[in-house]
Amino acid sequence: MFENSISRRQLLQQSACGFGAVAANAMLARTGLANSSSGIVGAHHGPKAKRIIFLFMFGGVSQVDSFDYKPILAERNGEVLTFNDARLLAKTGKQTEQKLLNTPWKFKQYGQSGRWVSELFPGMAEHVDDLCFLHGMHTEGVAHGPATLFLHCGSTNMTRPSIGSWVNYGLGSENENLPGFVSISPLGPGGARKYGAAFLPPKFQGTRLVSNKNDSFSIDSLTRNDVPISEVARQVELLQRLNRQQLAQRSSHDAELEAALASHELAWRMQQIAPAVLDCSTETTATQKLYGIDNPTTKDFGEKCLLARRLCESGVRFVEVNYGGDSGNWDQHSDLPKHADHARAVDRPIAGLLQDLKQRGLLEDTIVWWGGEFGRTPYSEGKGTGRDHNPGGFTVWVAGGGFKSGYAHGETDEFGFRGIEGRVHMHDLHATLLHQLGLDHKRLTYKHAGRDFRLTDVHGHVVHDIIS
Amino acid sequence: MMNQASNILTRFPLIVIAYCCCTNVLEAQSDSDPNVVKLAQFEKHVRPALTKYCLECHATSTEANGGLVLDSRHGWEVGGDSGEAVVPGSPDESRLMKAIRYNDPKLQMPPEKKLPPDVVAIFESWIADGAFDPRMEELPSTKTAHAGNSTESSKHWAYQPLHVPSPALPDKSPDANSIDFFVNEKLEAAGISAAPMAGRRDQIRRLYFDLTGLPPTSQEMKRILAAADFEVAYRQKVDDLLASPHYGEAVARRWMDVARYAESVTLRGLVFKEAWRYRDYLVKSFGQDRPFDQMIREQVAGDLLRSDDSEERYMQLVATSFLAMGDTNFEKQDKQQLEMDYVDEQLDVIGQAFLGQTVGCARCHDHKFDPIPTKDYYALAGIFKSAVALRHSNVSNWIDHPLPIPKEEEKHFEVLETELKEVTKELAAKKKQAASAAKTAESAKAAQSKKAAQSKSDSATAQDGPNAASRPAAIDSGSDLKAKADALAEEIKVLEAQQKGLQEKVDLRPRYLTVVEEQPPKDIAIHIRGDVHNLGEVVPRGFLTAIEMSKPMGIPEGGSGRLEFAEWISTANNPLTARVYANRVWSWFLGQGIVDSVNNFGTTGSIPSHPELLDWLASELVRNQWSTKNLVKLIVLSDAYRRKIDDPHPSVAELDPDNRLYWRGSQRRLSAEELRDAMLQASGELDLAIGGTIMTPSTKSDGNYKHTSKRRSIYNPLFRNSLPELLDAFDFPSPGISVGQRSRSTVSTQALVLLNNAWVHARAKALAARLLRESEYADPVVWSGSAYQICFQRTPSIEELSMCLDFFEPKVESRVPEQLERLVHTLLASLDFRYLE
Repeated sequence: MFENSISRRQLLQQSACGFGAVAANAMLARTGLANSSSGIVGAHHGPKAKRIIFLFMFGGVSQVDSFDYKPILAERNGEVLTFNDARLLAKTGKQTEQKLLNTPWKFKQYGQSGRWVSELFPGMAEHVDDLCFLHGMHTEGVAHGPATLFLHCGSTNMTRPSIGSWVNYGLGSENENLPGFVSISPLGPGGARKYGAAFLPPKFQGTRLVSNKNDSFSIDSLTRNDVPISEVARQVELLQRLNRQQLAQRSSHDAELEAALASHELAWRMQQIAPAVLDCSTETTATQKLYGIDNPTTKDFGEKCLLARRLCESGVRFVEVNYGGDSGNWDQHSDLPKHADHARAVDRPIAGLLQDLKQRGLLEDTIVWWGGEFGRTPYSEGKGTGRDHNPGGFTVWVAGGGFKSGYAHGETDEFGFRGIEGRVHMHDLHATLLHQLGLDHKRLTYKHAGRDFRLTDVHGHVVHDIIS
Repeated sequence: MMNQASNILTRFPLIVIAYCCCTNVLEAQSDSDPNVVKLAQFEKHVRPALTKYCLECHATSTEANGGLVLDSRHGWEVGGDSGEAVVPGSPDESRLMKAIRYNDPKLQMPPEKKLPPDVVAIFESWIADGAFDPRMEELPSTKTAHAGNSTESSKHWAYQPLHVPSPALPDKSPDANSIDFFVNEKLEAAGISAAPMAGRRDQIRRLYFDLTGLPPTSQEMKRILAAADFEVAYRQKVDDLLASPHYGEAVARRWMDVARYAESVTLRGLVFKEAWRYRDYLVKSFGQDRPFDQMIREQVAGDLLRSDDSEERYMQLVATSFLAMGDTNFEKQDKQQLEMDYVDEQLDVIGQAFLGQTVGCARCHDHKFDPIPTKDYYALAGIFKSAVALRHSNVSNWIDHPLPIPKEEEKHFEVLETELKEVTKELAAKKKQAASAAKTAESAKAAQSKKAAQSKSDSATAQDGPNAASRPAAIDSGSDLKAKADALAEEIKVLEAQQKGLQEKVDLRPRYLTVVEEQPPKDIAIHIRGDVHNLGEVVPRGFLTAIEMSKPMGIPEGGSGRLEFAEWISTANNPLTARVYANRVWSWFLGQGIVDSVNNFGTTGSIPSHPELLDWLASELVRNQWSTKNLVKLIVLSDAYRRKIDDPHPSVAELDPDNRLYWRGSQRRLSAEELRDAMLQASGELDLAIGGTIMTPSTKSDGNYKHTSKRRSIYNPLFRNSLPELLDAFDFPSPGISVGQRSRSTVSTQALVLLNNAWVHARAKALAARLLRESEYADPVVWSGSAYQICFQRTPSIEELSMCLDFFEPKVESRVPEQLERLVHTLLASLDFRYLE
């Protein structure tokens, strides 16, 4: 609607840098080509995946009650054994005696791969042949705060950019009308740092999607609802006329000012395009049902998962879907059966997401990453009715995006406490996820305070065994 | 290669030949020489095992994780950061064995999985057998090549004493500014002619925003522009604004970026209720032009200074909150590591803020580029480890102490505290009583029901037995107990209310965020690779050894050294401090530093564009008792500062596209806070009160905090999880790290916020109402004119005015207020509002 005279250079200057980057047209932005002036690094090698959906199970899902079947727990339930309990080890440096706790859920084998899944996750169980399990995961931090930060930023304490920001900085958004990194309902410890850019330029930070009064998700200040669109259009037109006049009255022609002028134009386009992407009501009843939106138990997480698919489909690089907030999370210290409530809330939506991505051909170049900040102990805690945190061995799965499917990598000891085979550290998982996106975790660096920083610090190995 | 080969040949002539041929030959010869046997073993078992399991991470050509390389004999002899890896002949003393045996949870290699037992056995017998290893070093060891203390990096410009140049001013006027002497010298040398002075209105707007963070009023602008001698008026304005209370706010806000100021931590949104005192310390200190060297001492060690003046004592104590402002993860369970993380954060900020040094790099290894060995890091860390900042529990606590207050107030709080203690004690006693009463009741009830059951079964046999009489008595005692319990519960309720009330009163006592010196202070050991569980040699507390002082400074017996470190930083002898601060202040007004990397004066930082100017500014700073105001005044009176933002001549564009030589003015955009303040100023809503806290007292966590205040942005609680309006969108830096220079993005999120954000709408509404209220004539021409005066302190051009008037067409009376609101909203969102000229 506006004529303007921004040069190609200025357009490029802004392209692909995330929310509202300017590009000459969609094709230009979709090439994913980096350019130095936008500050985007660009892929280091041919990518297997274009984007990531991270399903964050905050609180810590118990591996021995879900995907890491340990029949010995039933046989030796209540037996007292010596463990290197991570929390007590951190506090006292000593091993402690702990009482094994059997799982209250039954396990069955599923799919051609024959993976064991407990009755907590019947929906995900139907998709085991699409999943790649990492049973030997381990991480840093034994309390939620440190471990959540480590999961997101690769550091338990220091202020570092989150993985989504690194990806955004590495690749930018695929769509100039949408942000490169979105976090849906970010809650829980770690706060803003979970989607923060730390020392990366703030434009790479995650955009929060929070549900508003009408129960729909939106980006802050995306639209205004109190004024008809025709009025907004009229005002935007006046703004650009005045802006151009102001520029003409200045003594210099500054690229930044011209870019600012262009940003208003893009914002105008965005507010017409982005709300449609965020509006799930246009989906068919069948699709909504697939995600469990028709059921009060699964509605909330189902909507978030469906939104994640829509965002990915539209070119967002990294979508984090958060489970666990004010309404509770997976942290069952004293009431293990509550795991079932959380499982019911997420299982159908996740199964639906996998099926939907698959039937749309999106799973091929989309990574779905499921997991929490740590797992839980195979022994009981306190009154013997729940499990404590366990960063030394737990299960995470990834699907799509060039990972092996129907595959399991690594294993924990006989009790499911500590990874013994194919151990994958959180740094390794980060390195591998970046690798699939075409980014070399050792070269994706940013200079700050006199040195190059990276997501994996001085650690991390790409786990080639899980790549197909 | 030749060298290596011949080297090997002299040591193992036979072996090399054999090795070059093939292993079979070796085996054939195996009886003749024990070394040959060992070599055969090595080649057959040890080398393949090393290659298969270790070299991916521990080789010169890969990562040398933990500083350990296992691709040569020399590699394991020297070992990694934790020392030698193999002790020939003693498997049990060899760290390599310790690691692969997997017995120590902190040292397990390879990390993915324990080696098969037969491989462990191979290593074990190899070491027991003397660890024969024919492999020579492939490359010169990296271990000896620490850039650390090399004389080369000590020669780095920033570590040299200030070279105080005396500008040979060709003195034309008494106002001639030395800054311009240095700047013009460079311009002349480069053959660039400077841009003319900016327009007068632009100069005044620039000056106002730079010195106070606020726009001028249109009346004030008119007055200055009408002055007979603009030069006199400008100079007068500089003095006025430097004396304005808002000057202190503007400078304090800049320093707060460097000091990573915030009032909460991201973890759980825990709130620092007392942090605002530090902010007010800054506002006051900069406002009163407190010498900056003194401010350094106060921020690093104010608690250790002394003053008999209670006001001064307050300032000293509160300044030290600087040390406790980090975005700490108090929940970290490894408390030893947490303490070291805390110290690291402090050193990181102090290093960057005052010294322009990236000290943090030396936590895990000698600094790769600057002459900061790990030893120096732990010498400093010892000082700060001796300043306790945490009280541990599951989620550790920071320390806030009661502030000294006048005697009579002190008395008042003492009385309250005693009362509180008593009530708490009584409450505990009553609760205990209640608990035991409940227990008694429980057991009585149990006994009773047992009796009841008993009597029920008894009744079958003995209808009127002796038990029958006891039944009513038991019920009586039950209701008795109940009455007693109720009374007790009531008492507890009253006491609890009392306790709450008293606690609230006690909480009113002013406190401050601080650290506490630990006695006796201790030296600490080098933490190998930064790991608290892997300690090396203990290093005496001390300062950075690369910086040579003309007067060496030490730490006296019994002291932690923090006070001395504060002195060491702030002494004029320290070549870094004055330079770093002078450069910082310069960058605040010229848009970029003479050293562009304002927080990094190390070898990885930028080199100064004008070294003489930098040293001159630093020496002026010192000569004028570290007066910030004096420095600021010099800068804003210089031509370099006052130039027009001109388009470069093509030749200049090529020579100096980034304006490193300051031939033109710098493009300045309002910061997020300035933009917010300017909108409130325009709408007539800005509350210019100074100081104090406006945080809602009941705030327990920072999530979803509603920022409703109309105070200046600097006074909004700076919450790491919920920043005030506009800050997120307009590049407010992460308050978790020291930021020397904010980044500046131009993205459409900003445009969206300006157009759609409800807070911005409210300002537009208020501005429109103001115009309707204050305008003499209800006419779009008048409104437009006034709006331009308020927003930009100028009259609209003909074109602009006509665009504004068009916007009111077709004119429908009832829609006028609405249209006016849209019009002024548009002006607030326009480029001229946020980009200065």
